[in-house]
Amino acid sequence: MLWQNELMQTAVLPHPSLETLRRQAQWMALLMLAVTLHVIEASLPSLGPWLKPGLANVVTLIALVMLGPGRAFGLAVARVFAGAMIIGTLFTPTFVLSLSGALAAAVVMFAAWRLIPDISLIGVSLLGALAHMLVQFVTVEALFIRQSTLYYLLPPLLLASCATGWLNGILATYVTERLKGNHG
Amino acid sequence: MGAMRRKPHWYLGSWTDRLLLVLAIAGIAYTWHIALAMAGHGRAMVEIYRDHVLLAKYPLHGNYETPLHMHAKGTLGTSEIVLDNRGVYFESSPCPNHQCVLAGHKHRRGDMIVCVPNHILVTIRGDANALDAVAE
Repeated sequence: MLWQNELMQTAVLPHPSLETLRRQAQWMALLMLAVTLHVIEASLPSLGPWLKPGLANVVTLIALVMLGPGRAFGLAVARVFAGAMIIGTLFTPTFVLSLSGALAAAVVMFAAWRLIPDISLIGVSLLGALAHMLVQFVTVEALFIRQSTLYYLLPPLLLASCATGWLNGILATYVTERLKGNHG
Repeated sequence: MGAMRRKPHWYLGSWTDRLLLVLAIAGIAYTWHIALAMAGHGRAMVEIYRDHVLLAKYPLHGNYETPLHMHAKGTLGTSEIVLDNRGVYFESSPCPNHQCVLAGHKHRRGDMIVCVPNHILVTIRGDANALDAVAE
C-alpha cells in the first residue's frame, strides 16, 4: 500500500497556475534576450573607454513593466552572471564593475519607478544609467585604482550616460507599448 | 502600476523626466567646472600612478624628439607608457582587453588613461593646483 500512498502524494502536489508558468516563460525569454545583448555589446568595438550603450538594460526596464521589480532585479543579476560566463570574464575586474553597475542601476530604477510620481521609463532609464556610471567609478576607486583624481574623468562620461539612458528609455517605452498591443 | 501612469511623449518623456534631465545636466556641468579647476594650472605634467603611489612625473611639453619610454609595474605585470611630442600613450599592457592601449594619445590637461586590471593611472594635470592659482 506504500506505492498507493506515494501516488496519492504525487497527485496532490500543487501545480503552478498557467499565469505563473506564463510569467516564468516570459522571464526566461527576457533573460535570454538580455544575455544576448550583453554578449553582443561586449564583442562590439568600444565607443570609448568606459562607454557602452547599455542595451541590456532595456530588457531590465521591460521586465520592470511586465513582471515587476523583484523579477526584474533577479533578471539584471542573472544577466551579468550568465553574460560573464559566456564571455569568460567571471570574477574578473570587468565582472565586478558590470555587477556593481547593474545592481546600482536596478536599485535606483526600481526606487524611481515606485517613488517618483509621473516618471516614465525614459526618466527611470536616465537615472539607472547615471547610477550605473557613478557606482562603477566608486567601485574602481575603492577596489582597483585607489586614486581620487579618477573622478575628473566622470563628468563627460555622465553626460554620455544621460544620452544613452534617454535613448534606451525611448527604446524600452516603444517595445513595452508594442508588447501591450496599444502602440500608435 | 505602469498601467496607472499617464502616457508620456514617445521621445520627450513626461515633465518629470525632463526635469530630471535638466537637473542631471546642471549637476554634471557644475562638477565638470570643478573638475577642470582641480586639474590645475601652470605647466602641464604627466603623472603616472599605481593605485595612490606616484611612480613618475614628467612635463608634457618637453623636448621628446626621442620618445621617453616608462615602465610601470602594476598588479598583472609591466605597462609600457610612452611620452613623445604628440602626448602620452600606452604602448603595451598585460591587461586582457587593452582598453588603455586603444585609448591612444592624450595631450590635454585633465586627460586620463586608466588601466583598471593593472591598477595603473596616467593623468595630465597642472603643476600648480587650483588653490595655488586662486592665491596668485
